[in-house]
Amino acid sequence: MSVIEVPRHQTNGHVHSKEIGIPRNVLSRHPLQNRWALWYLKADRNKDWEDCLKMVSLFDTVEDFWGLYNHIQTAGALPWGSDYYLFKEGIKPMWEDVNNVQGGRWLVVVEKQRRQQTLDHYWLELLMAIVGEQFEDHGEYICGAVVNVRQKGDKVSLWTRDATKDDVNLRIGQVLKAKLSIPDSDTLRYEVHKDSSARTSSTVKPRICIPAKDVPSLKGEISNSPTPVQ
Amino acid sequence: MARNISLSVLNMASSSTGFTLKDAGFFVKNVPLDFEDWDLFSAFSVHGLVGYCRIGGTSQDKVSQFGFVNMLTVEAADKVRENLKNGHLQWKGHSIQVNDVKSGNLQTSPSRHNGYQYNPNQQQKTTNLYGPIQLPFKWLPIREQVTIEVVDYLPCSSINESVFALTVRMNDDKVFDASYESMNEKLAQFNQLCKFEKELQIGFDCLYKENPKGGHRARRISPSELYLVDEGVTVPYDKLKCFQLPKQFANLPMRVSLCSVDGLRWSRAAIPTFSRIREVIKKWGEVEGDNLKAMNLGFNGALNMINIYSGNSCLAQRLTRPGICEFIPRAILPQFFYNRDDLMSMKLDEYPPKIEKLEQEVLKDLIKDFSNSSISN
Repeated sequence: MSVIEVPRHQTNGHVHSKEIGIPRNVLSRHPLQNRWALWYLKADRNKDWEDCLKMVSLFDTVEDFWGLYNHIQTAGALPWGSDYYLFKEGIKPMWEDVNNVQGGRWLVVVEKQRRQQTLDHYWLELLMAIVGEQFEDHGEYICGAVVNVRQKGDKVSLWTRDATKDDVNLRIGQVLKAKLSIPDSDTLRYEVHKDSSARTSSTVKPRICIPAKDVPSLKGEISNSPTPVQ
Repeated sequence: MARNISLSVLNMASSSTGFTLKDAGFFVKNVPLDFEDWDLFSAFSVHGLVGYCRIGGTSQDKVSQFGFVNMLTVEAADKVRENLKNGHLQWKGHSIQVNDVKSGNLQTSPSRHNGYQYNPNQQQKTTNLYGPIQLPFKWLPIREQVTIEVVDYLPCSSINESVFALTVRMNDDKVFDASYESMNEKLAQFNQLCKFEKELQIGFDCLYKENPKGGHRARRISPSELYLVDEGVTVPYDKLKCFQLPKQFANLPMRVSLCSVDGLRWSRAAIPTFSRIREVIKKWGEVEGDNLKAMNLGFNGALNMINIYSGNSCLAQRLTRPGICEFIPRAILPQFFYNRDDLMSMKLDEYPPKIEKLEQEVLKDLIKDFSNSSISN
């Protein structure tokens, strides 16, 4: 089965009538707005972090998304120290990448006791929200999603492009909370990558919090977010 | 030990007095009238690290100035001495008289201004203090009309040369304007200058001191050119005016944005003409004056994919030429979105995944039911 690959930006996902020779079953797939790459990190103390990071698969239709998801382990079944990264094509899953360097992440901490019920649920709901472009007008600011599988507590994060866009990031955070059904008792924190790179996670001061908390960001601002989405 | 003591002494030194490290201080005369602290610093730092220097005042005969220079180490001072010709240091056609300060002459009279004071807390032996810096470009807001000007092009290594890119500067940036102003004021006053250990590398950023009263963030873009990243202007590269950019000036992104015209598909033949096309666009911008508008439709790596227009005139359409480029506008809003129910309803419509060739031990952890899977090798 040979498929003519047409670059995403030239087709907007529409299948042009100009393209010939594309098999019917490809035409009937449901295209995604973006092409996504899944990366897997297997922890290995003897290797460089970057050497442990592997690109697993690239997909741009709903059917290919499920094909991949159904075939790989759920987050909860991964060995300790592993990570999954789902990022738009062309964005490397590291904060130094040009698309991430000015950005930050919404961090969801998974409580150890509730791990069994929540980890896989959070990860899948997040994947569906990003590939399904559920972040309203702000899709361009989404870079990717990360899950860190850790014995001391798993973390699920959503990376955005620009940490200074407080209104955009706040809205993204509210949608995230709704999509994952995160309870009010769990605080969602937006952390700037640049701040986090220099510190351990416990000492990073978040720029935004949902529900609202008076947190002085490193720039000396007080951030107050409005009442969370119902 | 003596050096350590004097470093802490330098630290405590107020800006109005200087102390000399034994055998490392000079009293200089015959300094040209138009010299400022800066020039004295430049003349001496050719030979080694300067700890402190300042112009003291005008000489009695009023035809020249005098000053004080303390080198950071005795070795640096010795290097200066080696380069003296008949007790004079030659620099840029000037002949500065240099005398050793004897240990007795410690206290110097209060200065009319700060002079240059080396701050040992900033120095880490001889390595570049802050590591090589590359400031990020500014992102333009999405789907929001902004006013722009087209500025000199800033080449970027992460952009393929087959991609047509241009550099713009957003005007009227309410969020950041005040921060840039404040930063620029501090840049102009900043005088704790630290040279690069080796030369500033191409593609990396520095503090460019065009004159002692000014300061700009700049990137070296070629062996002979610097690009002022907040002004959008190319200037000649001058090694003597480039210093390491302190961390506090690296918090804001560059004022300029790297863009591409959205929807334009270029033929290969057009690639060599890109710089000429940029000139054309810049001229168009100059003609239209303040009226150039842009809208960012999305990001593509480091690029803001923009439409540029002025009044009713759309740049992309104006650039369209058969054989050169074609304009295929994208729809403004995203085309494909699926909520969770849409997606879940298709969960079983999967296709066999295309998985990269990975090592067995990685696949074992990654693939569900690995041994039975068709994916295992």
